[in-house]
Amino acid sequence: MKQGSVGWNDMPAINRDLLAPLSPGGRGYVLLVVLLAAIVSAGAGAWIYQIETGIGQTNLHPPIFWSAYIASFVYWIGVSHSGTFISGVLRLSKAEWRRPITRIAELMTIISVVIATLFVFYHLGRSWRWYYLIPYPNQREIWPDFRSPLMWDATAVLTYATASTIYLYLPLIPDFALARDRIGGWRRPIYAALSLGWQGSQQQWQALNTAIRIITPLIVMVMISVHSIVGYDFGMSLVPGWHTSIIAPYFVVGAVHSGLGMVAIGLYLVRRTYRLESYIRLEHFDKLGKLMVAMTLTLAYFYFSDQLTVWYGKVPDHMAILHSLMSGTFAVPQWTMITLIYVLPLITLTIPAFRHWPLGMMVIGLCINVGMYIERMLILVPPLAHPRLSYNWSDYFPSWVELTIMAGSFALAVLLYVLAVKFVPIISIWEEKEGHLHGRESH
Amino acid sequence: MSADQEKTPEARPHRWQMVIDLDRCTGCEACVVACHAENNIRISGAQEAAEGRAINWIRIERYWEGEYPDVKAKFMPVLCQQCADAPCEPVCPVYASYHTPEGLNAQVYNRCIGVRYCGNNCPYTARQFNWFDPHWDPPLQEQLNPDVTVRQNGIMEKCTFCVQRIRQGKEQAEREGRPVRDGDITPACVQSCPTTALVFGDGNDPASQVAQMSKSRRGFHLLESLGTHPAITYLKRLDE
Amino acid sequence: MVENHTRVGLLALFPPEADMDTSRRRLEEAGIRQEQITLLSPIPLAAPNTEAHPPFWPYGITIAAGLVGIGIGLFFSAGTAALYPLVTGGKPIVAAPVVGIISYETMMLMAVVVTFVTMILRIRRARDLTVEREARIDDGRLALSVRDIHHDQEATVRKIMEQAGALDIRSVSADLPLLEGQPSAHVVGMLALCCLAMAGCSQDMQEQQSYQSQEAPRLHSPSGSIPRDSRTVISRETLAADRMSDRAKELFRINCLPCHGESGEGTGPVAPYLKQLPANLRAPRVRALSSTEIYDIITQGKDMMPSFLGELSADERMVLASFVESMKPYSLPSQR
Repeated sequence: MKQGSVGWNDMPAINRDLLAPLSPGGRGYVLLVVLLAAIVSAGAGAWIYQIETGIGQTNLHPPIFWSAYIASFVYWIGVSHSGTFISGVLRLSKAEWRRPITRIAELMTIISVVIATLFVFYHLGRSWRWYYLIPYPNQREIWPDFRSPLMWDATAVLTYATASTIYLYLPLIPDFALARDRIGGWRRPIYAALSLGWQGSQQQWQALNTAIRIITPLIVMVMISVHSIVGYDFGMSLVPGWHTSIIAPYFVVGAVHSGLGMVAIGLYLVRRTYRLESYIRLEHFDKLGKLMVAMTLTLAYFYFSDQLTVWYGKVPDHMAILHSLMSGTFAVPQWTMITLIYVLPLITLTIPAFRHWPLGMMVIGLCINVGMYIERMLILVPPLAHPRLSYNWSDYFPSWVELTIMAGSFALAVLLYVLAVKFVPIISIWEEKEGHLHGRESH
Repeated sequence: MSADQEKTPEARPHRWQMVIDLDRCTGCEACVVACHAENNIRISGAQEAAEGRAINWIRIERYWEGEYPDVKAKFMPVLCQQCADAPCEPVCPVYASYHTPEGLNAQVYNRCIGVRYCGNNCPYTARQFNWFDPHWDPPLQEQLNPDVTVRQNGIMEKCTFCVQRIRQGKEQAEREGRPVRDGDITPACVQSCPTTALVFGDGNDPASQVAQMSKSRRGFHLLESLGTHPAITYLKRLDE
Repeated sequence: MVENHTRVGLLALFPPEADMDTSRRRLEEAGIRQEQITLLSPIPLAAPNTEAHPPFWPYGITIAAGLVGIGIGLFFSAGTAALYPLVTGGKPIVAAPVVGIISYETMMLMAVVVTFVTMILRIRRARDLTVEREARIDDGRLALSVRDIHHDQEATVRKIMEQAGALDIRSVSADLPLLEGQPSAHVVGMLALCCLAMAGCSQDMQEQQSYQSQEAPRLHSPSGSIPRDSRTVISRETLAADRMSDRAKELFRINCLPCHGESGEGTGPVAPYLKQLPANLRAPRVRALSSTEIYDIITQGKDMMPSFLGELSADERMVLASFVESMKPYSLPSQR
């Protein structure tokens, strides 16, 4: 058994660099946490106010029964595809450049699933009766109706949340063992418990790798199903503009699009904050940029196919929506969205030099995410605002309660991420080491 | 009296239907007011009405035809169509919306958790949501109908074809040991319509007025192409 | 157990370039069984001496779990619908696409969770095969653990390890307490209990605003109005004929006399036994009350006086109120 000694000697440095982010944060960090916590409490206050007084605090009105909360749910489920796509698909295809990115993305996954689930609760008219959705024998003597797409959704999100948490946790076990040995204090027993008595023996490695090998393809299949089902929530309805068969793949690709954008933001911030330039290198931004181009093109293709069908078909119910989007009430957000998620990424990311510019990549990631948020709103609101009976066509903009709750949830996502970075090694240490060795050996 | 005879009033299942003669509708909205009074519909007030949140189980849709000065107002009462293949029903995750054996499209308030999918999926926008807790300016709360649940904040509601009256009518018939006769049961809107534009009855009784009228050549269903098979038949306006 | 005292484990740290295969072979020649030896590394090593094909059984477990998951999905999507066959909007009670979607998700859920649990069990079981965790491997070293060695063999093993280039050799005599925690089942259990407790109470919309039967009256009719069929109140005009009627006297005799006395002066047969004297119904204070107020007192009670809400109907209370109101303002000698 021969090991290239150069790669092995890198290991103490890798440990030092990648465990460094776990050390307590400075004043700036505390300030950030306090600021985020303040926004989160504002959002929590708005939610309590909404529960106390009623869903009327939103700007919903018939016929628009769904809007900002469901759009946010869809958006956050979309962002969660970052982790599963990057680490699932890339692990499956054995792409070496995934190594420093997977953990950053997987953390985003479970945090955004949590945030997405919160939005379901904000949305419920009687959120204190949420457990009516759980199938268990009860005094109401009734089970939930699995014929409802919302039950498919609940099942899928449960599966997805569980599977992605496990998927985040698996490669963390050896890293938790390392953290247990190297980081003292109050965190030590937690790391010890989480590392399951990891010693690094070959039997344990085999068990871990087998599990990863089995779960990786499963999680990719779950990922595709979960956002398809979120799409079916809309596709199964009779609402013109929702009732289309392309909606499921369109949702999946859109989800990956926003997810990749979020990963670009995360990569840039983590790299800059913790000076990890030697681990998150320009080639990673380059590869990510290429993936983003592929997703932009696929999404644009789906979008074009959908709208073209509507335009050529000229069914009045559908045309009303198309008109409102292209030149009517919703024209401004519509064209902003098209610029942000299709035009800008295509113009910039096709230039190789741009893909090697981390700040630029982050800005494009931001554009895509803002654009995708608008896009989710535009999928929901214009079709609902134009029902077949034109009697109550209407318009919608979120109320301050909705905006506060959305901002609070966003802050909660960032807060959870900021806290998690202090607890979880943000780059998979053992996989990075493995990558170093593979890199040396292939030379 | 044999057991068979006892059963006869209920032997044939009912299929409650309504016919709305657009030619007779004058848009007076008496039906709307009657519905509010009968069904404990919350009073929304000017502010909420302006936000489009006024709850009406039946509404008069008013469409303008022609250009000024040759302009005409056309009225169409729209209420829950009590569809046989209702889009609102299967999307409910908690069976709050389900189909009764008599073809009614029932909403069980206690089961509803307010996901509002049914509201989106109703092509007629007949379903309404309680955005706030109900409120009546005193002494209006004293006129609430005890036979109808006052719905709380956060649940969906809609036209029930005055199910409480249907039940009363059936119980009355059962007490008198006879089948329900045509005209025994009238929902509040039908009762209050001064031009008898609304007719209600059992569609499974071929002799009933509603069954006769729904066979009219003027008959059509709202958004018929969607295949929801509504229980309400509209009769076309006889123009000029 | 006794044997444990005579047996030890050895843990040796090696530089990464050390030839572990040779050491392993030499150890086996020295009489150490293969399962006593484990190799610890900071990353998974491509092990040449293990079987070429990875074992199939972990995949088998996943597949079995997936099948169980399909069963769970079938139960929820088809079974519960068949248990409660409620018709909704033209969809069949058991719909194949629905069953497919739900079973797919539960299959995935079970497969992933069971694979995960299997892995946890394997990792924890493998822990017993190794003497101890060697933290220094993470700095780019390898470690060889040989456990359960007889005292006689210890020197031999040590020697082989040294010859292979061991940087450090530790001897571990007893099982050291490992730092690890059990996932707290209590916390999970408590949470589940809370959820169950929550599910038990459902009071929404039980209290209705509308006037219900058997409910106490809420307000009085406007004076002069005549309710169609009185459930609540009777206007005073309709009572005029009833005033001083035999019915009122009878009611008074049964319900009021024991305390207030026949003349209403608060001198009933029970009065001497009461801590607080019953009101004199002919006193100016009572005379100042309207019949409506008297009605309220009869309905709700006052001080010592009990409520007659459940005893008397609204009509009876109204009759009594009118009767009390009509009493003479000053005291008359008792007619007994």
